[in-house]
Amino acid sequence: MLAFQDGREEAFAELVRRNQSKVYAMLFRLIPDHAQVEDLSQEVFLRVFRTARRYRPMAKFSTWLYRIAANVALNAIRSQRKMKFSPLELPDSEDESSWHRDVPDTRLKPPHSDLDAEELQEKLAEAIASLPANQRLAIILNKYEHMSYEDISEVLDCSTMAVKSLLSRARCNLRDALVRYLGNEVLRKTANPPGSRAV
Amino acid sequence: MKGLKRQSDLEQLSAWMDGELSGPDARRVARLVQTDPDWRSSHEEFQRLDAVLQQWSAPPPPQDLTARILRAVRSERLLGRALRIGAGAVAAAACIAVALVLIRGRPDTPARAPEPRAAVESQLAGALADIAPEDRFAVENLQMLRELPEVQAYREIRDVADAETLAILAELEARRKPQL
Repeated sequence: MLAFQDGREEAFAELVRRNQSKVYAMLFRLIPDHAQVEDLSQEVFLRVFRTARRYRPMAKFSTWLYRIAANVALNAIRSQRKMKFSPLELPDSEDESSWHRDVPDTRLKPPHSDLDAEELQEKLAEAIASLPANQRLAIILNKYEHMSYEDISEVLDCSTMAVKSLLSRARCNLRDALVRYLGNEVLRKTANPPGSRAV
Repeated sequence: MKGLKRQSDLEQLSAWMDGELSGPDARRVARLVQTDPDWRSSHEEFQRLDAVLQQWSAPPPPQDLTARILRAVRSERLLGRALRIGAGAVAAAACIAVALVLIRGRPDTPARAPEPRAAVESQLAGALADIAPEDRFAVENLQMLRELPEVQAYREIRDVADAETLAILAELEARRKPQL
């Protein structure tokens, strides 16, 4: 990045090559649509190009890059929301730890104990997609990009306390969403043995 | 049903599992996970969930994505260069026009319309004022837009903004808090 700021333009090509996979992966997990993610990936690097002079070496480049990617993704999600109406406020729930909207999806097969890998991928994608945008982003940055709460707070421009809250709510919502469709048997089958605290 | 119910407990457990607690807080949660059935149950649920989440793989990007991105960047650079040349020509013509007016004497004209840049700046300032926290990402986009060479070359913001950014701008303007 610093080489690019110094005017070495081949450095930008190298920057794209080194980072495109993780940008693409992050965007795909947020919006699982290949065509759209290709466009959004391009938009992310265009914004990097346009705003390169604003990058300060004190900030981690990855955090800066993810912040741009998050902006691009959230704009796209917001546009999608406007096109197909989906209420932003979730209804009250008896269980305050569950913020999941109870709308049965008629495309889904009934719970089945012999879930193959491809079906699990679909269920995971649906469960993640059902989260509110900030929870979705927080869980993806933590679980798949392995970012700390502090780094996530810089990407989302919020406090680490807010990140803590987002992640615990996301976990609760995902637990509820996956239990509802998959059942505890599948979760037990696919889990690692309980032991160390972190995965 | 076993498991934690209080949001504050769930937050502590979640943060502990992510390695984000330390000191007395971490020791307290570690003890509770061992000794309290509700804490243990929630811990096991979250562990199983984390294990399942790790199985979700993202596909690799298409092989031509780098080439496509670099093509887009090159086009943008060429456009920027053309606009700067065009803006330079306009600025030069404006300087010549001003010089001619000064040489010939001031014509008797009504007050000039605001500079295009002033109109753009005013539009941005209005939209940025009192933005609610949930709109901060839209603010980032507007600030990035402000830095574009096209805007700095005095073009109308609407000529360069894409449909999404225009929609965000319109929404923010409609939701602006009233000035005190």
